[in-house]
Amino acid sequence: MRTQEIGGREWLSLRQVAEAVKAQLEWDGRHRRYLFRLPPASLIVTPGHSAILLNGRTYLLSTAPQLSGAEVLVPAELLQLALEEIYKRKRIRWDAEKRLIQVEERDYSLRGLRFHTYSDHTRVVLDLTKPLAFSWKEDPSQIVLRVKEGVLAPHFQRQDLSDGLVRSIELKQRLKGVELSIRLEEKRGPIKVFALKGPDRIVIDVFREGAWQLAQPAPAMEPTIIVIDPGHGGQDSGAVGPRGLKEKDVALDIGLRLKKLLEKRLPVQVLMTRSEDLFTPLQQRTAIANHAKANFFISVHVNAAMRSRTVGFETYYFTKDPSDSSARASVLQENLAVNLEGVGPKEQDNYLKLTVTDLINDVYRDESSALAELLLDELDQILKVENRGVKSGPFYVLAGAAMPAVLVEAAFISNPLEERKLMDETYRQRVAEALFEGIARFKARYEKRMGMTLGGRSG
Amino acid sequence: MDRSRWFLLAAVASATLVAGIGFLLGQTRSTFVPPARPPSLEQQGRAVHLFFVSEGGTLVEEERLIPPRPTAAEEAKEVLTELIRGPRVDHFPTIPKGTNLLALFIDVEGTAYVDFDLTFQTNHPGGSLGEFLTIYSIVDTLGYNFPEIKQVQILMEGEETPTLTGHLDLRRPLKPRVRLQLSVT
Repeated sequence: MRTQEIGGREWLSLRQVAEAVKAQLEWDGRHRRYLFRLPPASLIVTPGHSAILLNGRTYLLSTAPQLSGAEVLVPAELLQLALEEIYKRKRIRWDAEKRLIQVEERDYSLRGLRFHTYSDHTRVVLDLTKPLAFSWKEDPSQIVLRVKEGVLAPHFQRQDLSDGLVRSIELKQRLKGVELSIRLEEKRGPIKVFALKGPDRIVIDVFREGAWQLAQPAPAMEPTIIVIDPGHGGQDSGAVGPRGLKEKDVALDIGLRLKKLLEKRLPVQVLMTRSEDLFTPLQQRTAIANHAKANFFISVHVNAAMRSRTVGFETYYFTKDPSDSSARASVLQENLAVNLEGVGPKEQDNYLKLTVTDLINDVYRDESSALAELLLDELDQILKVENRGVKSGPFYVLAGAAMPAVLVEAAFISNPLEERKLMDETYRQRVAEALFEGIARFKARYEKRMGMTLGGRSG
Repeated sequence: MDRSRWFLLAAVASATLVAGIGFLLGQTRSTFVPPARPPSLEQQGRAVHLFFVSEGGTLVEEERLIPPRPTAAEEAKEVLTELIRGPRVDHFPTIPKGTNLLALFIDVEGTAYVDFDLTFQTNHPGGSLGEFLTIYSIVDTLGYNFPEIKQVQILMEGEETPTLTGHLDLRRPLKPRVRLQLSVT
């Protein structure tokens, strides 16, 4: 059996799969899908749709089956999935070279891929369902990790990270296993690869150059770095008001005004995730902040709602679930705060570190919610419109920020009155002033609490 | 063969013909004709709770009857179709006009995969609040009415999407919030 490689994936034609499992293939024109007749098993494949129905269960393929000439191509893992299901969940291995199908009692799977950029390293995590053998090769520009067995769970292909350490991550399903390639920047420190249990996973840590030598940085010497993230940009206009005002323009203008105020009045360094009308991927925005070891991250947005009368401002911070933080979570947080300094490449406490870094958002949650409160308070005093409160939820741009991070929704561009206000430069300046006041208060409090001067003014 | 049999056969044949023509015409939007009157309470159906936006900008429930279906996935599809159709009373819709639900399935682990067409994204007004209310009206409506649904994964034309309009992280399934808590945010 020959697979075709297109776009870095292995494909089989639907006919090849049907022949391999000795099934009759039927086209169901009404539903535009293919049925495999192989009683008692059943398999339904819909071109253009990555979900398949196998014995009544739904599986997601890594990509949707496609038409190619007269053939329907499916990702190669379909064969393995189909065989496993048909042969009563016994594990199957298809050896493409020997044209041999082996039925074994093996259990494996790769559930997913996660990654996070931290200030001194980037962590890539492969989630497994059981311990799996793996090997890796590294050279200056990349690391290639092979997980010897396993069907890749859906939806992980290639991800551009460009966080200053990792350029991109790519997962490929091979007939004999899964291959993970991580393309790296040349300037970097060591790499650690290790397996962890409960749940089973493989962790790859790529450290920044010199990260191992760094003791705790002396905070008094470093200026406070504030990252301002004007929402949307480029082809992504964000929300658009009834008179055509675009969120991306308002967010950028307020962001630049805030930058000016901060630089003029405080001893801080301000970085913008974009300072023009440019499309910037969400992942990159947090990566910029982590890479710069920023102290705070403020994402500036204006809001929209289907109900056009909705009015006011609100601030958001990250929580995994949007409900208010539970008591259990805050207890966990206190325990972890102590251990956070331990994030570093010492082998014996890898497990602890993983727990700590996985929960890094929890650690910054208190600070983030405090910053969100202060910003809200200042907006309340200066704007005098409806205060919609501090909220939390799984916001993409805040996820993985290794610092207090808040998303501000300053007004509703979908509300005709507020849109008109936002068109006025003085109103945008007032919003920037409010955000400035909130940041200044937070910085003062933060430094007092940390018992140090982050700004270095007293130096 | 008696008359009623013939009639049945004719009905089946014409239905097949209509379906066939519909297929030949391609993927044009199926014309759904809403019932002239809302079904009365006496009619058989399952009472479900849908979450729409209140005047105050929070999610509130509205009760509906949906026709009973053999599987949870099919019933969940009915429920979301109602949610797309929008509220009856002084509430506000959460799903953009013209959105089509392409597929809904529930896997063995209780993850409901909800697949929308691109209209869901392109017609969405955006904003953190708007996006939040849209996503959680779906997640909470499914979680509230179907105990077998533990979490919800949103898909766009069969593929994962990082976010709807740049705010909430949709790469992983979302859990319904406390099932009986009605006021949110």
